[in-house]
Amino acid sequence: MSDSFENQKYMMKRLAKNLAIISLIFIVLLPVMYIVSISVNPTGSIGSKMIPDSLTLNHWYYILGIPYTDTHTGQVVKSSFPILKWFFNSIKISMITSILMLALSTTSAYALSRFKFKGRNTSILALMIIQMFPNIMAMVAFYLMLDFLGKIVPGLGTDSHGGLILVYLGGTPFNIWLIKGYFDSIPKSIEESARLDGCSRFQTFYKIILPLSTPILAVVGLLTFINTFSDFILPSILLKSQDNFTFAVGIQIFISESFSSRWGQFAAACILGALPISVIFFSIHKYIISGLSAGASKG
Amino acid sequence: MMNKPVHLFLVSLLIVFGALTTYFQTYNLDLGYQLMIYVAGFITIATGFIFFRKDTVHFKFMYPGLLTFLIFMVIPIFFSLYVSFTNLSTGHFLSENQVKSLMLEERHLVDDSKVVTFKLYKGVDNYLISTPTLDGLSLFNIDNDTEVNLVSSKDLNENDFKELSTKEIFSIREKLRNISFLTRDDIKLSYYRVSKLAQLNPTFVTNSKGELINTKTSQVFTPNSETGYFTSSDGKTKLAPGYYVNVGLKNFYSIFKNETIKSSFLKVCLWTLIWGVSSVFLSFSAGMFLAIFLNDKNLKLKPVYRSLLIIPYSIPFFISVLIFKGMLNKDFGIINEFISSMGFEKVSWLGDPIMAKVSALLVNLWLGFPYMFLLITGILQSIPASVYDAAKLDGAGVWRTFKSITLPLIMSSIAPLLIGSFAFNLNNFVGIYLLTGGGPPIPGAVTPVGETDILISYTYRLAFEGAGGQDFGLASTISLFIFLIISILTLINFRLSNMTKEEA
Repeated sequence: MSDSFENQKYMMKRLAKNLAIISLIFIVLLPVMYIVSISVNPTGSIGSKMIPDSLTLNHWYYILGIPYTDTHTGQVVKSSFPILKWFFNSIKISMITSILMLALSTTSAYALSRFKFKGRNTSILALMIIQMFPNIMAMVAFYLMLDFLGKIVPGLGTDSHGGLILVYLGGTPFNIWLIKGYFDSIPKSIEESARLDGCSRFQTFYKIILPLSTPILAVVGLLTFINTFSDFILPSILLKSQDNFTFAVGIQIFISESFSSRWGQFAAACILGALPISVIFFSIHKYIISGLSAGASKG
Repeated sequence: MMNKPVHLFLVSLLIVFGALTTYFQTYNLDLGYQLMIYVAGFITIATGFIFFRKDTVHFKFMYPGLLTFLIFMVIPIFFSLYVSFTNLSTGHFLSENQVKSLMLEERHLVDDSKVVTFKLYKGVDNYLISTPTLDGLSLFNIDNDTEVNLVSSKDLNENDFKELSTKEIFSIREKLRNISFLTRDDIKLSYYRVSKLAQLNPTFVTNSKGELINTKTSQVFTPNSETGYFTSSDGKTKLAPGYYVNVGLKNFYSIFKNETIKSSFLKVCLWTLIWGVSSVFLSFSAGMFLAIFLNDKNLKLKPVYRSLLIIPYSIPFFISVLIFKGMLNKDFGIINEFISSMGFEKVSWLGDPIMAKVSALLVNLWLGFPYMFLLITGILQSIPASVYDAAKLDGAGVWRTFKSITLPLIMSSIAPLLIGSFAFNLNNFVGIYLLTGGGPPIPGAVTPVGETDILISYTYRLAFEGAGGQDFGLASTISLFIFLIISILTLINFRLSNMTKEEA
């Protein structure tokens, strides 16, 4: 008798806990659900209700640049903002940056991991500190440098994707540090036997270390992709013409011009922009966290 | 990193480059060119050093990653350092020589000259100018001709050419300025403004001392290397635009001495500190609470709950912040709609100094707690269950266990990450700028500054959107200040995490 009462009490406690967590999650995710609902809400204004009376795909047509018939005016509308283009600009810039970033940082990471030289630890520390310099203030220098570079190489000036990518490539240190950590965990004996077999330094690096490091290369590449895609500061200062905007800059200008009337289209655009990043994030978040806390938990 | 002779060699090369740039400054070079001299210098030295020497295999491997880092990180820092000693700001963007040549290009009407109207036509590879009042009609080549005689040529007919609009003329005005049009009486006419020619005289001439002399008033303007203006001898008239000059420590002084700048700077510093500490504290507390609450063996849906809770962290920051900006909108936002439907008065979430700060912190809590939650969950999972069993046997309650076991264990492994998170939040530009834009404005401030501005957004606004003009000098100075704080934090962080020890 008392046993089943205890059991019942236990069950109630668990139910209460689950309910508490679910309601917490509900509150946390309210903004996300709200945006999803707004993106298919025909009124789509900034103060629209949580649950729409009817559904529409017009906001989606708008951001994808597909003509549609407006429900209020009955006219055929086509977006004058190249939102989809901004999105693909961002994807393009982030992809190229990731690939080049990997190419640039792996060799440096290899040097820091495999070569013993004086001041190695100090240089790692220096790299990490210097890279903390606020990007925003380097902007004047970036601007002047790209302005000059653009006169020599047209694709690398201000208001060009090439120039923007070039500036991003300055951010190698953090990636070097991440990749170096992984290289450190690969036993040196593998390389040593290859070296005995007559492989050069570069060959061991290229043919042995790199293939063994695909997981970290994938993580660093995707991390760079996320960070580049999400960056707002650099493109907002370097890019000037609307067609060149990245998603972050374009969408900020799009919504800031008129918060009240573009809310529905903005909501759809948010989902478009957030979805790929969220998917990538969930595919690698375990590595991100273990990578970040690795140094900490060892100490 | 390198041995002594090499070190010396590099330093001396850098000094040579420093001297070269200072030398070039006296020529007509703008800042971009000077900067590129440094860049070229760095690349040359680095490449030469690495591929010249034989015992530098490790540098060859370091080279690609370091090169971009040097160019796009290290050089900009030096550049900021340089700018912080100048008055580079609106009205002072050009070098002294650029301003001088700009002044020397200035022309004014000769007193009794008549202004002549012209029309311009475009042919296949040349232009036709027509001045009806002078009965002149001439063909000329815009790129090569410097003098064109305005004589009537009966063989030519305007109708064979395409007339240019004023806008089109405006777009080629720079080239037209270089051409003198000679009338029949041998008077030199020049491009005066769109569709007008006139007899013009240079307004200024220069002398051997580098001064500018006004040809009309014979007033002498001497370059003043303290204010960055060509100034008349009585000091009353300054020629605009000014040029940038070295102002020494003036920017540093103005942060600490200039009352109006000092007060807003200190206010921003204080809020930056509060912002950084509270952001970390709030997201840490919330993350820890959730992590402990969910760290329950009997919770079957734990993985699902965890994934749902980290969704906010997976969305790009700028998107979440913009969404919150809309939701917190005073007049239309859903939050105020909800509040007013409950019968309460609408809250000015982003317009009121205190509410704006609270909103910014809450939004940042939403963005930041999943990170802490993830980290602490990881730590909790690594604590062996036996520790808790022992505590239970000793009769420790829930609070006691938390205080004496869980919290110390969490803190010991998370401390460096908390500092990292603090450093991140000090520089969390997007979290402030996209939400409040720094606003609401602080009344009576001379620089563009708002109640929620943190150092980094303040610098941004100083440099890029000052209503009274941009001030790169002051902005660079503050950014060096930020850099100093962040460097110290990073250093502490690395000492704490023992990163350097572990690899030795």
